Amino acid sequence: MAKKQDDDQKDRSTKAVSRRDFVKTGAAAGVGVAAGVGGSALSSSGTALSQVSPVEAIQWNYEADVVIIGGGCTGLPAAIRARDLGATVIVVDQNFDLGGKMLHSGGQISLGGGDPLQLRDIAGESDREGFVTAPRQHTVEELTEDTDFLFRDHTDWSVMDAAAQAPYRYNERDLHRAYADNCSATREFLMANYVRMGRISGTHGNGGMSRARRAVTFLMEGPTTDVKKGTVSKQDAGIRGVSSSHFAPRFMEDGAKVASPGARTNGAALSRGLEFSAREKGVRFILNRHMDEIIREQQFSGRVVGIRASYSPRLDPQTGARLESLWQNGNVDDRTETIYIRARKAIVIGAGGHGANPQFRSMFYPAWREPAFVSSGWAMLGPRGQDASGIIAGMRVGANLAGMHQNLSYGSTFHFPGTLATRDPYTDMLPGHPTFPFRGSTGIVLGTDSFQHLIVVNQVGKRFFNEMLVTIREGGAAFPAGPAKGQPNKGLEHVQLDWRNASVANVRATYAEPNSVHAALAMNEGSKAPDYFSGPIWAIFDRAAVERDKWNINPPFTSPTNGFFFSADTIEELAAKIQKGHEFQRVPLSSLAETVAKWNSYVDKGKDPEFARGTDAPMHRIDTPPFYAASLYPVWHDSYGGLRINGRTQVIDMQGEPIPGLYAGGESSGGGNQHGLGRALVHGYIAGSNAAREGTT
Amino acid sequence: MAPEGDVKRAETTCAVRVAPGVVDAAAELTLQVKVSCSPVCDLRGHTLSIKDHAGADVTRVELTRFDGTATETDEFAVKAPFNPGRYTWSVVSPPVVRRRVSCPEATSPVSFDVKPHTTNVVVWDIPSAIVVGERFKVKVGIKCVHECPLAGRNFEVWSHEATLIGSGKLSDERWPGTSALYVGEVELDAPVQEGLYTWTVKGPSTSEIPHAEGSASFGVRAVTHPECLVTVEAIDQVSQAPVSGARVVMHPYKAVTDERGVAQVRVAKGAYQLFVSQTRYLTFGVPVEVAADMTARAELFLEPVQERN
Repeated sequence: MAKKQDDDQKDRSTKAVSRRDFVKTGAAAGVGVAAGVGGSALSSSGTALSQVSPVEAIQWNYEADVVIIGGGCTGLPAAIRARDLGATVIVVDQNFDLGGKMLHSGGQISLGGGDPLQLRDIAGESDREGFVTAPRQHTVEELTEDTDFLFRDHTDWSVMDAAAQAPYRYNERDLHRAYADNCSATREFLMANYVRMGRISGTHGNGGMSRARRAVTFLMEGPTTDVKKGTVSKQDAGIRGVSSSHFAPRFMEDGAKVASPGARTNGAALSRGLEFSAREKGVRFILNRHMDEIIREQQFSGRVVGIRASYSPRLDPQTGARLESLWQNGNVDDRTETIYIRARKAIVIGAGGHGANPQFRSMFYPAWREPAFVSSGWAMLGPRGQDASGIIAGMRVGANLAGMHQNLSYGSTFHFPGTLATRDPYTDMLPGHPTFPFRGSTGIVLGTDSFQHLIVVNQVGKRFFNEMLVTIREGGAAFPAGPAKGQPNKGLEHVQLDWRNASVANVRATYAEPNSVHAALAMNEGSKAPDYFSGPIWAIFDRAAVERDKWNINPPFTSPTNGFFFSADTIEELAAKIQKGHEFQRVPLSSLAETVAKWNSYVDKGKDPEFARGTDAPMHRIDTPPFYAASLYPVWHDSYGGLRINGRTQVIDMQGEPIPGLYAGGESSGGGNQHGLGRALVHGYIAGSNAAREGTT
Repeated sequence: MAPEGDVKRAETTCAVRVAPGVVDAAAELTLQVKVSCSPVCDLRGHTLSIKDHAGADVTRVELTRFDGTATETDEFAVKAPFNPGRYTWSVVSPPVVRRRVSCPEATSPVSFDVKPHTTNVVVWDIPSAIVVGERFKVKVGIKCVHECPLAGRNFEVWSHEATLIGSGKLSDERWPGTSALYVGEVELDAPVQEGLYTWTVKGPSTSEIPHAEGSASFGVRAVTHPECLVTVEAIDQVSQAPVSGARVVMHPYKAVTDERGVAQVRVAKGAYQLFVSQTRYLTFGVPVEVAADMTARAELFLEPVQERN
């Protein structure tokens, strides 16, 4: 095995480093090594199907104490924490920039258990920099709890949500005990790493029913973007409906209510803060680099010793130029096809979930094998984001899985975001972010009420659901509880571990699952063996609808070329254009003209005998040319189910034993049904702590 | 074995692929011809003739690709005849001698059907409620799938009893925002009795290029004289400011609020679902029983922005 220079833990330079600077003796190893031990068969997601890298044959290109797969919500805190404890750290990420889905998130972090923000709000204090001036959002009692209380909330067998699912019952107990015990430390850790958070306001989906635990991250609008000072420029914060920035792919919302006037909130304030801190502390990043294999001493025994990763650049579809990260310091720019990275202490898998891997997600729901539909963040993360590669690589070295059914017990796991005319309906990148060209259109964002102006049809042109209900979804079961979230009692009246929460009477009284997405995914006359794909979904409307509800159907909201928006003089012509111009339209929309004619007859009669429209909003004829078709795609948002981990976030094998040196968290892990950032941040904090304390091999 | 210098006579056959099998009048047909010889002969550079049903030359096309057993043309397009019907054309491979192999003339028929152009009809601007006996107007648009100019063509309106009740002429210009939709307006008499009727517009059936007659049905709602005046005031629930431009619907009656947030709808006595809807607001809906003139106040809530996290 060739000896490589260590990543010097004393070197905390923030200057960008090249591979030559970083690796002294192994500069030429990459290409040669790849030829010697690479060449494994690749799956569609690029993950090796069988382990082919014998450890003794590997010439490592890089080494570090801790190697982290994925620079997102688990990976960045793990990297910072491990670095704080003295470990050298390399983070690899398949994308060109850091942050993963966290960068595009709402920046909402539910922790609790008496965490420092709950205590701050109880005391009515501002934050350390004095930014927070908004009044407390909750009573002292609504903010008061301890870790035992939080643990009970997260493992409460009795809670049933409005979709009659039990979101807490199946959570891994050891994992959630550790979660409860580390929430306070994680909140403190975030605040020490340039993360500013506003007042506690409610609790995020499946973050517990009994107390308020959610805070949103913010930066103050200022003349320049300066993470150290806590400011973001107006341009970097984005202009609603016009532009976003490389700093914040999504428009940063007004945070006056939860922080102070001038505060701008979302996940960029969290992600860029952590990224800035990690770079400042000397974490090294190898971007454009997809992890293909975790290497263990033997496939099912011994320690994990490193990873194999392939070059995965993203090229601008218009210019062909490689996309580059916002900040460069700490980056290792290595364009070798295959590299090997040795982990002396541990590997942390924070590679995200499986929502973008149709084969993987179809384990839970065969209809989701339909490749047309993507995971949230598709354009931002690229085709290899959320591809289950972290989970698959763990399985290949013997890992067990956990919580595989928990995809079915969160309301936004898959749903219709309600954005027309884009393949990527969950994300909001506007011109200004480097990934905008991948989506080509921002989409037409409609509220539920606007669906009165259109009909929605399947791939053969038939309606399948009441359009006014198509985008309705139940939120997670969280504080302040109540019937809208499936509970008999609201707020502090909610009782933990009470059989009445799960009683038949309560479920009958509170059940409110609309099921539209299931109707959309159902087989239809165009579904063919063996996969019986349901095909794309189309919103059909006319010029009168556009004028009536004041929709902007021009670029960048739609694109004339990306195949997700069409206009035509007649319905028949519209059907033909869709079939010709949309990648996943595999069959003719043979029923579309008949469907529109039938719909118009229902409008004339004032009754919709098929789907009961007309009870909650007026119905409108679709008859005024030109006519329009815009995609209405469902999205697989966050994913649940993944590698089984224990309270130390160690990956557990089929015998119930930890795989030495292997950690995981966030959406790569299973057994936790909490939505959002809190879960992954705590996992990252725990993983970084334990990984850094591992013995060196 | 034939003596050196002798010419060997081959057998030649032609095979033709044509798409589509049913083609619109004067539209493009795609053909591809494969010529096989026995013994095998490479006929690249040899030119074939395509002759129509009357034996007239349509086009000539060269054999360009040899796969080791047969020689074929690239795909090529020809224009279909104007008149609908069944046609049989022929592909002729003239005699040729190649490398001491004589390939005789071969002919292959190619058959296809020609149909008139399809026209599609749309009807809009139909009043949702028309008082019996009154006159009203609708717009009619007709488009040929091949975007043929239809300016000046006539269309007809037929009643639910299959009676011709009106006719109109398409405009000289394409309708704004469309590629080839020609539009005409027609004024019609409402039915004499209240009810919902289905009427039909039929498009032109003749032109220089044959066009099949298109048609579209539309509903005509005839009502008796509405005797009650419903005055609806729409306001923003938070600011208490009037909401102008809101749509007030009491099916089949409709109106739009003015700058004061007020709309007046004249309706017949009866039970209705009163809707008031406006962009960005949640639709206000309430059942009302109308027995006399009445007023209603609709407080509209802004639709909450769906949380993304």
